[in-house]
Amino acid sequence: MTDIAATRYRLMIGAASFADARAALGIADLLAQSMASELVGVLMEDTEVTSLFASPGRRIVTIGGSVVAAPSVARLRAALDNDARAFRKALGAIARQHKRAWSVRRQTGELVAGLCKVAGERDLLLLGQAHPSKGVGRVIVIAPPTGVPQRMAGLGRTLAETLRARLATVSLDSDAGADAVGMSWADETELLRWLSRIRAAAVIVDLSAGPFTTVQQLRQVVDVARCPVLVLGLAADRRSGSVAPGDEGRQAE
Amino acid sequence: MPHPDDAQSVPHGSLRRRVDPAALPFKTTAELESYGGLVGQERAMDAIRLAGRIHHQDFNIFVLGEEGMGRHTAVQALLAKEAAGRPLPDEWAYVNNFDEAYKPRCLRLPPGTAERLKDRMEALVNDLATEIPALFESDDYQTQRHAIEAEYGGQQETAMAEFAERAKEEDVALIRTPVGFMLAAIRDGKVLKPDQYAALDKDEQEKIDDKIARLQEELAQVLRNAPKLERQSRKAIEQLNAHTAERVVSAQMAEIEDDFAGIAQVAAHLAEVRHDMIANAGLFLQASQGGNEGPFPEAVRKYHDHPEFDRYAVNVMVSREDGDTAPVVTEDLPTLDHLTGRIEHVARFGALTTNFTMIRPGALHRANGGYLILDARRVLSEPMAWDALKRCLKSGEIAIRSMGERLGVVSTISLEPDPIPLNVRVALIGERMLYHLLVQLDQDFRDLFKLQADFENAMDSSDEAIVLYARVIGGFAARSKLRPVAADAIAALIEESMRLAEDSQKLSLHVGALGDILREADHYTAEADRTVVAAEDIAEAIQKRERRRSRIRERLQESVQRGKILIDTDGATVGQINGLSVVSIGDYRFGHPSRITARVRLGTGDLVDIEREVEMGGPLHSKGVMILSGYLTATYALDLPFSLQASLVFEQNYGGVDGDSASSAELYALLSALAEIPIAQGLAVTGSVNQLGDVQPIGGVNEKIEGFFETCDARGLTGRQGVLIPAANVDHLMLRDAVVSAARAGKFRIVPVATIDAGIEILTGVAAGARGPDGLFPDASVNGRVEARLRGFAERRRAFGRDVVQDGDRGSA
Repeated sequence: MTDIAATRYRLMIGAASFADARAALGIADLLAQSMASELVGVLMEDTEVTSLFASPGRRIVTIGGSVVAAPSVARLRAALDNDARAFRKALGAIARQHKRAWSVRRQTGELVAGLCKVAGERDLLLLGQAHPSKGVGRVIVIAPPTGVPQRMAGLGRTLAETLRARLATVSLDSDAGADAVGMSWADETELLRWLSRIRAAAVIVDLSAGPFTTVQQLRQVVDVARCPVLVLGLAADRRSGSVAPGDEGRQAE
Repeated sequence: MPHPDDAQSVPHGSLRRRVDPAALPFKTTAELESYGGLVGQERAMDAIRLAGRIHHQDFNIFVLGEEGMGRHTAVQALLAKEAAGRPLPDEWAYVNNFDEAYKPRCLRLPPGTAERLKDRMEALVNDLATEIPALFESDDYQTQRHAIEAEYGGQQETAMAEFAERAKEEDVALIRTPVGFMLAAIRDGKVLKPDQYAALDKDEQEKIDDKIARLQEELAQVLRNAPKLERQSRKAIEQLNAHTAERVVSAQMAEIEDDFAGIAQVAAHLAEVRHDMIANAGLFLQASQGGNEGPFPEAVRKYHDHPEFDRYAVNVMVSREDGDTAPVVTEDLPTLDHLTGRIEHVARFGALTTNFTMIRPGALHRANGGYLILDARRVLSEPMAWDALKRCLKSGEIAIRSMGERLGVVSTISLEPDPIPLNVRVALIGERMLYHLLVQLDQDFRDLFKLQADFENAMDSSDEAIVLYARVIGGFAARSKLRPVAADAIAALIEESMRLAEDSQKLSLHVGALGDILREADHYTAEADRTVVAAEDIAEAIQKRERRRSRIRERLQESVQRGKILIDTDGATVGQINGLSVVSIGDYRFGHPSRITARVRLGTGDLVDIEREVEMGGPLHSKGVMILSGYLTATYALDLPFSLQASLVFEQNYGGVDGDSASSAELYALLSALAEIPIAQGLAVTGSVNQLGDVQPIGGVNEKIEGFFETCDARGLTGRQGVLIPAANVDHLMLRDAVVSAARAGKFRIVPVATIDAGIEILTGVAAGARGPDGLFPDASVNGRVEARLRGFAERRRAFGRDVVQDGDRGSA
């Protein structure tokens, strides 16, 4: 179990664009004042995704629901350059406000796997993801099988207050704390299915405690949540080998 | 040297009327029943009472009279008495117009209601600012809200999730990119790369392309549906908010609505307030977000002070809480704003803004339903005030229009408040001149001010009136907390009052002037450590008052004594006479002798008034001089052309002269010059004259006599000195004791004169002369010599004319 408040952590905020990063900056600000001693922003460029923009006639669907021609790779990279500058400016402001060390870097690779790979032993991972539509969702704490640690629950409450959202703690039926949580599902698939159908403001998972422990599972959580995901226990998982190198490849949702 | 004898002079007893203290039925005013009203003003009082009682419109009143006559006090007292019999008028307040904020609505409220409504609305806002946030924080509300958000949010999430599942079933991956969603084909669980796609045959590529195109449209449809769901969610939440707010607002407002149930206007306003509060419950939530900032706990914070809650305020324009009768309002500074009220502005972010809470009442609002007392001169001298007052009285309502708005010089947000119906009786207090100017020049004035209260300057001095007058003085002393006034002091004051009235048969109604003397006398009484104001105190007050104001008079007398101003008080001179004039400095007047000279010669009938020629003579003086011409032409040498060239002048007059009171003196000088008979210089003359030679009364007779007496007294009284006054002025004599004493000692005489003939005889010691049966004046008489001189002028003129004609004939031949 990861004791998140026992010491100061480095917070890694990873996102594929500044729009996604901005969705996580509110949470980053909260964590910067309470538990993060250093802020590291990582703007990930998924080269496999970027390569798809090279296909002639490729189209994308915008957040507003328009089908338009995909920009060229060059324009996409130029947009990412702008995003990187904006990310640096915004994160720097938060870090200066709380007198924290900070940096922003660009990296290539799949977002989840790439960040898990570079995250250090004492890191918290915050995966930024902007929701396609407005509205207030719930802060979801995915309880480990052994029950929700007090500090994880506290973090969930704090996030819910900050985001003015309701807090929901969920688990699998088989978990020890399922009765106390009140919302549980038969297995991970059911839980993910539920998660994909509710409006979430943020999701908190502890990879070291489960029930989701692998990069593949984390990616699934991120894909269905469509909101920022705070990942705890990442370093412990890496030590335990739960995150396998082979998990780094992109899988279809 | 000619001089009048005792038989010709006014008897000593008539030089100053004495009031016998022993004849007064009290020793001091402490014994008298105080009289608070005004005496001798029954006509004016009746008019004011009528103005106070009559209910018909436009019976406003103009109270005219001179300063210091107690007009303000009387109007205030009489109208207050009338007001006591009138019901307490309604109260007025402005409230927000929720449809058109720039047109605030006025509420007419029963007495004692406005402040209560205001307090209730403030308490309502304070309560709701606490209760609405609490209700919105409650689990009940939050659960309902989250249920709505979950319902609509879930619909969108489900649509997205189901789309993702559908796409996956069709081997298509939904990929988030920095610029949107991309759909890509999947082969063997992995996204098909561009080169792998290119390696596919065309049919397969087309299948993939068709599938992706179809799914793209489906995804677009799902994403386009999101805003619609959001709108539905917002609407549902707004309905929940309204329902939630309605519960608490209705519960709170029910009590207020019950409290004011009988007032239709208030009920209608409260209904609008309720609707607005429910629709704008967010205001109360925002107000509470300040939390517990500041020194006061949440429960005692005054939210109604916050500008955002102004919309629910009640701006009380007029409250009758402190009164129990109709109002009697006096506005000492009747500017436009002070009369009709004003709309204030505050600067916010560099712009001037306002709202209905910044409407301030004016005197018309406060006096509505009662009486408004204004000083006419002040109203007329304040820009736009008179116009605004008339407009309000004519329209019967108070409409607030600022000066800037009227002039169009201010361009900022302003208001058009509902006009407030006006029912007021206005009493304007002013001078007679203002009244007559307004009557003459302002048609509206006659329509709007149908009543006039004309204050008398003086009243008859019968014995009863004197006692009543004494009671008025006693009442004044008591109200002013002065010492009781002794009977001899009252007698002295009454004598002074007669002098102020310039009539020994009248009492002045200038109570202000007498009050000033009495208060000063009371001061001297106090200094002397006595308990009753005595005659000597009154005398001291009068004497010191005279001394304080007599600097210029003394300087003039000094100039006379030092020979700078040429005045003869002895001997006799042809064509020269002592005229008398009155100098007025504020409310102080004193008499002063002036030398008048006349010169004559042959001419064509011109009587030159040098004062008029140099524009130093007023119209009345010019009129007087022209009358002399009429007298001369109608009295002498009627059968011959008037062939006189004469000039008249007030010597050493550098300040102008007006009035005709010196016309008799000028005529005497002319007659002296024509008859070549000297005039006694120990005498001075005052009085006007008509074309028939009758001497007519003039004003300021006492001051004129005293002015010449002072000059003579300074040089030493000879017994041949005195003043000729019109006989009609004898009743006006209230001379100072010094003059009376000198007259009693035979050293100075006051001689009444009724005609020019009588006057010229006294001045020259030569008979005036009357036409005999032959139609001629006696040769040695003044008139005979005047006529002979004028005939001589006429003959010489005729002879001169004949000579000129003959010279002309010779020249032409």
